[in-house]
Amino acid sequence: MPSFLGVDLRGHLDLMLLATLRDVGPAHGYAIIASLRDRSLGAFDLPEGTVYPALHRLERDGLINSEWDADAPRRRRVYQLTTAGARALAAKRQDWRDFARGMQVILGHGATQEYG
Amino acid sequence: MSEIERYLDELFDRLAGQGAAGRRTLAEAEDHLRAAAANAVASGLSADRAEHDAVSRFGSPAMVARKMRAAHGARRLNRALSAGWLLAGLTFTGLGAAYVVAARRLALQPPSCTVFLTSSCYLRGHITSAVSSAAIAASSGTILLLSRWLAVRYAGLAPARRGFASTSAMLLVLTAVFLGIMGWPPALHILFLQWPLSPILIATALTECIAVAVSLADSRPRQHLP
Repeated sequence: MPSFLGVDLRGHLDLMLLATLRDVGPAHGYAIIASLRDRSLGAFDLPEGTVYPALHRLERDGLINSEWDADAPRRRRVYQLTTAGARALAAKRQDWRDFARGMQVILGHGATQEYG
Repeated sequence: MSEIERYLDELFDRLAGQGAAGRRTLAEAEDHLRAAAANAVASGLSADRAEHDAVSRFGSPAMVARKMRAAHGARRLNRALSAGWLLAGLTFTGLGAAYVVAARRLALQPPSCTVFLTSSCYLRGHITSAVSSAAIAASSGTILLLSRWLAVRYAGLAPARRGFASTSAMLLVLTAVFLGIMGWPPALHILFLQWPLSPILIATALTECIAVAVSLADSRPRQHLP
């Protein structure tokens, strides 16, 4: 099961992929995964092959698009965020912030002190 | 044979039946695994160890193929919904054509009672009924087709395959017109009272099933690899 610091990532992978594409710009699958791992300081634990079905799903939904990179030494698909994807990312970020704020309230002041 | 080669062979087997999506997945997996192995070798690992690590991190071929099938499965559902919606619109339009044919037939022939027509056998009433039914069916078909077009345009519903709509439309209209000529004017009360025995309902339902099956079988993305 994909996890980040022990938290199940299912349901959040799409958000992370969209955010990565927003930050790094057009990128192929390996670069997207490498960026996710680097930005999480190695804590991002995900079977890398699961990223591609997620990318295909996001493309099917019109949130990203892709094309073959003609300059790459091997066949390589490059993905980038669409306008609809940027809008969806903004909406999901707000949802996530609301969720995190709610969790913070539920976990209480002790959790704030313990984890900073 | 290297570990990456073995992995790709197994993934190829697991992706069987996924068409262009499977080929694309295989190409992306190969690029990913070779890039990961090359980076690991560059950082000092042996080639064998680098390939082993790359394959291990990627996940099992069965898992990747299963997730890829699931990712494209929803697309098939979308296409099936789109095809069903289209066929429903075309069916009602075809029914409208059948009513027009039936009305014309009634206008040309002397009144006669059939198992479908009720007691009065009053010619003018049947013609009026057929014409009004034609208007209702054609309006319903138009609304369905228009709403589907809007759903495709604005709500992400999958468009029809090239040739699918025209072929289905021709088939359904021909079926409906044939039924009208054969003396089965699809009066609305017959559709309700004798369902599911009404011949036109059975014919249109069978046609829809066949067309949806064809749509599903043809639903793989036709994305040709350059």
